[in-house]
Amino acid sequence: MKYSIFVLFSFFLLSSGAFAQEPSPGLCSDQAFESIPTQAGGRVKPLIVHAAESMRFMTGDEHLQGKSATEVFCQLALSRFLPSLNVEIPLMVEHMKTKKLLGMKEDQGSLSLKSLREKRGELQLEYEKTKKDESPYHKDLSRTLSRYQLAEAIVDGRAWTLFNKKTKSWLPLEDYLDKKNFEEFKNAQEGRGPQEILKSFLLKSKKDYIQEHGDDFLLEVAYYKGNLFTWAMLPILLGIVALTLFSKTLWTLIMANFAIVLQVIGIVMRIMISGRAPITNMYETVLFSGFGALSIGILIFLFKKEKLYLYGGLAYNFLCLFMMYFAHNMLEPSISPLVPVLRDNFWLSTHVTSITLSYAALALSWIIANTVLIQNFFSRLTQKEYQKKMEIVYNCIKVGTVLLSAGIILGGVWADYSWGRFWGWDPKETWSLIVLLVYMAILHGRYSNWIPKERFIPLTALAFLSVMMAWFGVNYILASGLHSYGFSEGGALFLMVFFLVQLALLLLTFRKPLPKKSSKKSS
Amino acid sequence: MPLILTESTEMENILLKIEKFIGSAKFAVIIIVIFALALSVGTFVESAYDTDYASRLIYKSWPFMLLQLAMFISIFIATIRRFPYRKRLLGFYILHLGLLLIFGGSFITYMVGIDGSMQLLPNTPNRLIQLPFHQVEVTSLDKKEVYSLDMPYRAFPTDLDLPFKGYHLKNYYPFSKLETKWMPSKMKEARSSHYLLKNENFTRDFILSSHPKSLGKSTVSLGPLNAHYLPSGLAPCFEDKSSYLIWDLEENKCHPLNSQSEEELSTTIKGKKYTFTPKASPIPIDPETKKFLPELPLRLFNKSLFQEKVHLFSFGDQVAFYDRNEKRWYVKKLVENGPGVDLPWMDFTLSLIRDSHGFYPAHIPVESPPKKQKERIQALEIEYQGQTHWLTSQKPLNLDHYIFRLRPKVISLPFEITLNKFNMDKDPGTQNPASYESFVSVFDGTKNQDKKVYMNNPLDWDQFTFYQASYFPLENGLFGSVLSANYDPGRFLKYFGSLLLVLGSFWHFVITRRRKKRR
Repeated sequence: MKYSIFVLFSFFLLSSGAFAQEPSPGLCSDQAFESIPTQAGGRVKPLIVHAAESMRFMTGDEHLQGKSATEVFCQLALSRFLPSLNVEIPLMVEHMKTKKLLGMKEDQGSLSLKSLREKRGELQLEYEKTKKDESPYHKDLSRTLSRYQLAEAIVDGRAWTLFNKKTKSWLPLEDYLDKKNFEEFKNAQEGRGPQEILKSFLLKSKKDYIQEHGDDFLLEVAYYKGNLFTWAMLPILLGIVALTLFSKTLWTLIMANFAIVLQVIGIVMRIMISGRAPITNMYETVLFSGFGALSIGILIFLFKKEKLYLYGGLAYNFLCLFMMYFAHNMLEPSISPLVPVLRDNFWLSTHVTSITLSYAALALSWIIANTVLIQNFFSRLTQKEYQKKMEIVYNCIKVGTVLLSAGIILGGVWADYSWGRFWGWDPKETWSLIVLLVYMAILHGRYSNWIPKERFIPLTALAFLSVMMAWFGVNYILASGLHSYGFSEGGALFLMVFFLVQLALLLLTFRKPLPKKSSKKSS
Repeated sequence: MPLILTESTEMENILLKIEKFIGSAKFAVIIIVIFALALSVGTFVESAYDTDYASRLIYKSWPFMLLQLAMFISIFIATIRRFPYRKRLLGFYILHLGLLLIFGGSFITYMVGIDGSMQLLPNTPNRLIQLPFHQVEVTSLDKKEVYSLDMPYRAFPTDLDLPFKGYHLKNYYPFSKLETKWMPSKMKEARSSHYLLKNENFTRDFILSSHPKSLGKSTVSLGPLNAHYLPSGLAPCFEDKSSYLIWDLEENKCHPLNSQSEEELSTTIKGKKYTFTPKASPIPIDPETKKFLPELPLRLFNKSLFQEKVHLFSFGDQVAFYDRNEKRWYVKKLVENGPGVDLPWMDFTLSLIRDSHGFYPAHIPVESPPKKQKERIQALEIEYQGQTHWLTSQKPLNLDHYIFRLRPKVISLPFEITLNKFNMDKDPGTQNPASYESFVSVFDGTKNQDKKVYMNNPLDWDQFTFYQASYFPLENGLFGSVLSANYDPGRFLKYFGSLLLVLGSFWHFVITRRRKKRR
C-alpha cells in the first residue's frame, strides 16, 4: 500500500510537468521549513532542531557541504519522490575495527549511505556475533547501525512526522502525502507548479498545528538559532582580558553581568521549552554549574571586593561553555523527556540545583587553587598574598560543602519519598558522599594543623578530581562497566586527560614551595 | 572536659590520652579517609559486579559497620570534649549532633527496618513481602512439618556445617553459576554421550543420556535435526535391509524379522513365533489365537517413518542415519575424540567427545561473583546418605521425606493488596514509558480501600510505605506490578538529624565566621 502511494505521488509530480523542469534545488532551502513542528523523541519540536539532532548523530556535524541541517534533512526525505534532490550523506564510523569490517581506510571517517546499505548485512551479523561481550567495538557497531537505520528512516519518510488536521495526529511523511489528502489540497490550488503545491502542503501542517495547539514550539527555533550559550563566551573572554591584562574591574563586572544575562535568557528559554529545571543531563549540569560559578563569583565579589572570585567565576564559566560547544559527543545538547522517576519538579530543582551549585563552588576553589599554583610557579607569592588567597579558596570550599551536604540530604529525602530508602549505595550518591568526605578530611586536617598551609592549596586542586569522578566518572567510567575498558569513549577519555593534566600540574609545581610560615593561626 | 574525672594515675593518663586522640581532628581525618576509600572501592565493585554483591562485600559487611561505629565514637567524643558550652561553637554542636542522630537513625533502620518488594499479579490478593536475602525452607512430604533457616548475608561461600535429621547442610554459595561436570553414577546400565556437530557455519555440542539425573535427555532437537538415544543392542538391526525391527524392551536388543511381507511380519524369539501387522499396531500377536499380547516386552519399530525428515539415531559410540540419496541406512562407529562421521545433510560432521557408562553430566553450582543482567543462582550443598546433592534457587530438591527449597525470605503482612489495574503511559510517539501507575485495593479484614500508587506518590498503610518500583509483562498482554515495601522506624531521627546538620553547618561556616570577624 505504501508503495502505491509512492507510485501515485511520483506519478503526480511527473505528469504535472515536474519531470520537464528539474526540481529547483531551492525547494528545501526555504527557511519556512525550519519551523514546521514535528514529533520526535517523545516531544514536539521544530524541524530545524530535529534535523540538526539527526544530522549531528549521523554525520557528527549539523551542516553538510554548506547546506543547513534542515535543508539536507528535507532533501533526503523528499528524494524518493524527486530523485534529483538526493544528497550523498556521509555516515560517521568511529571504531577502527568497524572501519576494517566495512572495508574502509583507517583515516576515513565516514561511509556513504549507499555503501553502508550494501554492507548492512555484514554489519548486522557482526553486531549479533559481538552481543555477548559489551565491548566498545560492539557499542560502536550498534551506533553505526543506528546511524544507518536513521538515515534509511529519513529517506523512507518515516523519520519526519507531520501534524494532520483531520486525524489530529502525527503522520510520517509518506502517510501525510496520502493521495486523498493531497488531491483535495491540490484541487484548491489552481495554476501553481507542483513543487510549489508540495511545499505549501508541507507548510500547511504547521498552520494546522498552530491552530490546534498554539505556537509555543516556535520558541525553540529562537532558542536554537539564538545560540546564546556560545555567544556568552565572548563577553566572558573580554571580561577575563579586561581583568588580567588591563585590570579594569568595572569593565569585567559589566562583561560578567552581560554573560549572566545571556545565559539567564538561554536557560529561561530552555526551561520554557522543556518545562523543567535545566539540570537533568550532563549538558545541563555543565551549563548550570558554569552559570552558577559565575553567579557565586559575582556575588562574593560584591561583598568581599576580591577580584579573584570574579576571575574564577569567569574562567570556570568559560571552560563550561567551551566544553558545551565542542564536546557534543559527551554533552548531548538535545532536550529529551525524562525517565519517570525524575519527573518531580520540586525535588529535581531543589536537590540537583544544590548539588550542581556546590560543584560550581568547588570548581571555583579548584580553578583559583590552580591559578595560585601557576602564579607561584612563575613568581613566588608573598606570605600575605598566599594567606589571602587561601582564605578565598577556603571560603569557596565552605560554600561548596554546605551546599553539597544540603544537596545530598535533599537527595536522600527525595529517594526516601519516592523509593522508600534514604540511602541505597547507588554509585552516584556514594560518590557525592565521597566528595563530601574528601573535603571534610581537608577541612578537619587543616583544623588540626595536620595539613600545613603550603599543602592546603595543592590538596584542594587534587580534591576536585573527586568531584569530576562523582560528576562525570560515575556516568562515563562506572556506568559503562569496568570490563569494557570504556576508555575509548569520549567521556572517559576526557576524564583521563583531565586527571593526568591536573596531576602533571601538581607535580610540576611541587618543586616550587608555597609560603610556609604563618603569621597567625586560622581555624 | 574529659570523660573520666579521677586522680591522675598512669592508667587514667593513658585513657585520657586515648580519649583525646579519638576525639581529635586527626583521628577524624584518618577515619574519614578510610571511609572514603572503602566507599570508592565499593562503587567499583558495584560497577564490575552488581549492587547486591557490593552491599554484601562492603556496605553491609561487619568491618564497614565497625568503621561507622568508629566514626560515631569519634564524633561523639569530639563533641563531648568541646563542652562546657561555648557560644562560638553553637554551629559545631548542632552540626555534630545532627550527624550523631543520622547515625542513630540509620542504625535503627538497619536493625529493625524492612526493605523488601512485593509482586502483584492482576486481581490476585497478595500479602507477602520478599526480602533481599534467601532462606532454606524444608517441608515434609505430608506438609505437616515446615522448617526454615535464614542464609547468611555474605558475599562469599559459607560452610554452614549444620546437621538436620540425617541431612547435612554444608556449603552455601550466595553467588554461583552452573557448570557442566561428569558425575559418577551408580546406575550401571545408564549411558551418556557428548557429541559435536559441525559444518562450515555451525558448531554445536549436545549430550544424549539415558541417566535420569543427567543434563542430556534421550532426544535432542537441533533445528531440523532430531537426535534420538537408543540402547546399543538395537544398532545391528539398523543395518538390515528391512524397514522394520523388533525392539526387545526388556533386554534392550533387537530381533531381526523373518518374513518380508508388508501385510504381516513374523519373527521367532526363543522358539516361539510372533506376528505383527505393521499398519495396525506395534504390539505382537499370537499367530494361533490371533490375540494381541501387549504384556510382552516386544514392539515393532518402523524405520521408514524416520527416512523423510532428518533423524539421527545414536547408540553411544555408534550412530545410524538414513541417506536419502543412496536410499539406505548406515550404521557408523565413532571413537572418543577420534575422526568424525560425515552425515548426509548439509556437509555436517559428527564426532564423539565423550561416551560414558559410569558417569553422567550434570549442572553443578560453582562459586562465582555475579554479572549484571544475568540470573543469579544461589546454591546449598546437602549431604544425604553419603551422597552430595545441590539445592539451587532455581528448583526445589526432593530428598526422600523432605522437600528443600532455597528462596527469598518472605514476611506476611496483616493486610492484603490486590492489583486492580496497571497503567503505563508512554512518551508521545515512542515506546519509552512516561509513567507507571498501579491501581490497588487494600483489605485489612474489615474494610476495603482503593488506592493509587505511582512514581513519586507512595501508598502509606499501617506503618508500611509502598512505592511503584517496577513492572513485568504477562502472557495475556496484561502487566504485573512490583511495589517496594518499606518499614523504617529510624526515619524521624534521620530527618531531624539532617535538618540539624544543614542548619548547624550553615551556622558554623557562615554566621560564626562573620561574628568572629566583627570582633
